[in-house]
Amino acid sequence: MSGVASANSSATGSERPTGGKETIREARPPAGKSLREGLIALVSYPRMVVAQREILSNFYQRELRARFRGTVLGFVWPFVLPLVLFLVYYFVFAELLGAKFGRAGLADAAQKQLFTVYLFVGVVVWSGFAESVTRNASVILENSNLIKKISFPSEILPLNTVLASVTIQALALIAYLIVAPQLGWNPWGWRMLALPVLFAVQVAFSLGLSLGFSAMNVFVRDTQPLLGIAMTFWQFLTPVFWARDQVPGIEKYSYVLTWNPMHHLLEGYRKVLVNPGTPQYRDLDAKAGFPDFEWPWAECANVAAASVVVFVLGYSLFLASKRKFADEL
Amino acid sequence: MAFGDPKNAIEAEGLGKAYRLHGSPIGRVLGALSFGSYRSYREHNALQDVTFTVGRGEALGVVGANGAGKSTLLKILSGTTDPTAGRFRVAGHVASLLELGAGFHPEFSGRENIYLNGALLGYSRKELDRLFPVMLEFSELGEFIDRPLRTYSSGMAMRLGFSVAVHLDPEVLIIDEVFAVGDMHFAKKCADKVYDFRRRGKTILFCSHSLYDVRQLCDRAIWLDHGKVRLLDDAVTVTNEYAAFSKSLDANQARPGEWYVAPPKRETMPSIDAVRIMRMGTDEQIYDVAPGDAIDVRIWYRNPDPYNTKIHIAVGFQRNDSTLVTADTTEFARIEVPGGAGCVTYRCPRLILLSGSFTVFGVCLDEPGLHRFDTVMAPSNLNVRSRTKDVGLVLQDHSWIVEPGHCIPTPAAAPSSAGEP
Repeated sequence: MSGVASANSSATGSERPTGGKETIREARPPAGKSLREGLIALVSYPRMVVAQREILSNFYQRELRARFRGTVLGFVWPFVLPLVLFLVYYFVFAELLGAKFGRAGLADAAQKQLFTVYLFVGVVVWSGFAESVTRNASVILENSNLIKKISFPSEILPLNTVLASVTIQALALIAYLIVAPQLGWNPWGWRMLALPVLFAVQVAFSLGLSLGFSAMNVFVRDTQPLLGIAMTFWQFLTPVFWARDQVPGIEKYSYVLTWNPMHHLLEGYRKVLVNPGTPQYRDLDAKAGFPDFEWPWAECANVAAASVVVFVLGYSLFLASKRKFADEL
Repeated sequence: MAFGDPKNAIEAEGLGKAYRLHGSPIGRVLGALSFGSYRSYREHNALQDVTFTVGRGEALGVVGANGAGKSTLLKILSGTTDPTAGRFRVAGHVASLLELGAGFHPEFSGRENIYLNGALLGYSRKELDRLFPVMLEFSELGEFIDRPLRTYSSGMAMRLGFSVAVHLDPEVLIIDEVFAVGDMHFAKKCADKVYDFRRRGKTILFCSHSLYDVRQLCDRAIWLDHGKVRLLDDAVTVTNEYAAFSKSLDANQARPGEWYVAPPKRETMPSIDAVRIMRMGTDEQIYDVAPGDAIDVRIWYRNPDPYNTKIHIAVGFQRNDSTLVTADTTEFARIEVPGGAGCVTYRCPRLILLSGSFTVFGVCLDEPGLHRFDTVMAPSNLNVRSRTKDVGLVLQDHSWIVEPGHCIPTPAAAPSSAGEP
């Protein structure tokens, strides 16, 4: 795991630093050295990202453009897609199946409206997360032309996909924030300050998983299809389409939720975006008994803790196998 | 040799690469899960114990048969794959031209690929904005620069790759067989760039099957054979030894020799109009000769732009089993070839070739002797019929001296004067 000793941090000047770069590689460094260097590499991911920001921004801009290039609707797509999904889910769950929020003492109309919004936020966040992880499974394979032939910082590729997916998720949420007040819903306020934190922990969590699966898929190509199945399972185990309050015997299975970082993440987003706590909504049903707005810090801390575990595991796997990518592709 | 000597641009110490050939994906999974106690692969040594240094500003050629480990070595040094033994050091930024379109993203446009590669070599966006027009002009891609790379022809991909690699001005340039692609006009531009690169004191690692190119461009060369260093010496020695070895391997497999490469002509490029063999000092064409005859090889050439392009003329004799018997250029003899159109004569007052059929060809080269503008063969082979009993390829200038008795004592052994390490 001995890394590349390259030291050029000042790439901002007009002249490229010459002669500053030196590459030394050894075949099998001593175990102690390799472990130490591995640990250093593990914690210096942010520094690596800063050093490679030019490349990351190249890829990021391209990724966003490529996702909608050649389409007639262009950048309307990130708004259209979640909206359509939402309408379908709403029709099936709220209208056909008559799903209600299941909270005591709330009028039917309010129940339905509340569930709709609840569903919407869940679907948008879940698809942002799921898309970044499943797309990333093949990201190393897709960029084999670069990794195989030149010395390329492959670590930035999973981050790039995650950032692109999260950007599209943010666009959908912005659409929601614009549309919601028209429906008598007003999530605006100081609470918006919690959103960047929620996004940050989501990126960290998705990145850890993505790094691990993208590396695994290089060696065992079954990873990608297996991951697709696993994500479907995970989606139904997470309250995306259902709410905790709707399930009578949920206490028996509460560990499913406790140990599910995605449950905490969705809960965090919903605390900010769904739980009303606004005077407007209280007027709708005074007896509602809704909880007041709470900051979602506990949820953020839970996801952050899970992110650390997942990142250490995923990035270790990535670092350990990274140098074999070129031979495997 | 001290590892880390600042005078050296590249240092390799005992480099080796063993590829693992896995039997099945299941075996690989088991191997990974059992932490190496389960082994399901065979090892293939692509490279073994390769040690050499390349000084700053030096050009090292790499020759060897297919599968000798040349590409593996270049890949290790350009940092795409890791050695499994030994270590190496490369000082400075490295740009490598390994394969067509290598290092380019097929979905990115030419422009995006330029910025991507620039960023990888540590260039800022501002610097690249300045360099971009130069690269675009050199690559002659025009509006194709904004199309995705997968729509490029191989020639276009090569032009882009070359343009990016030379203009990003790395300290070390690694080239794997690129002169072969592209049209005449662009190949010449590339040769000029590489030569210019060399003059500016940059380090080059050059791998080619064209021994002529290796000899012209490189100071020293390394000959790899089955992953091991067979010979490391000055470029002329190594290419000669390697050529001799290859000839002995495929003496009977006559395939077009390297001198035969005749790319399409361009009107604006220097060219050869005709090659004729004549009886010395006359206008009588002669193709059936005997050893000892006096002949002239005349080459009519055309150089439309002598102020920008200086040329040299070469003559070669190749036997029909593709053995290059002899070749010489005006560059070796340091003779200037005047511009416009003209005729150069290669005078051979005493032919030393013995029986055989020989192809005689004239070549028009650029000034450093790197690039071949044009190659034209004489209309008929030169057929030599020997009237003596001499056998072999040539009739050497010689005489026999016979000493009676033992007046000269037999020397102990051959003194080892040839080939210093």
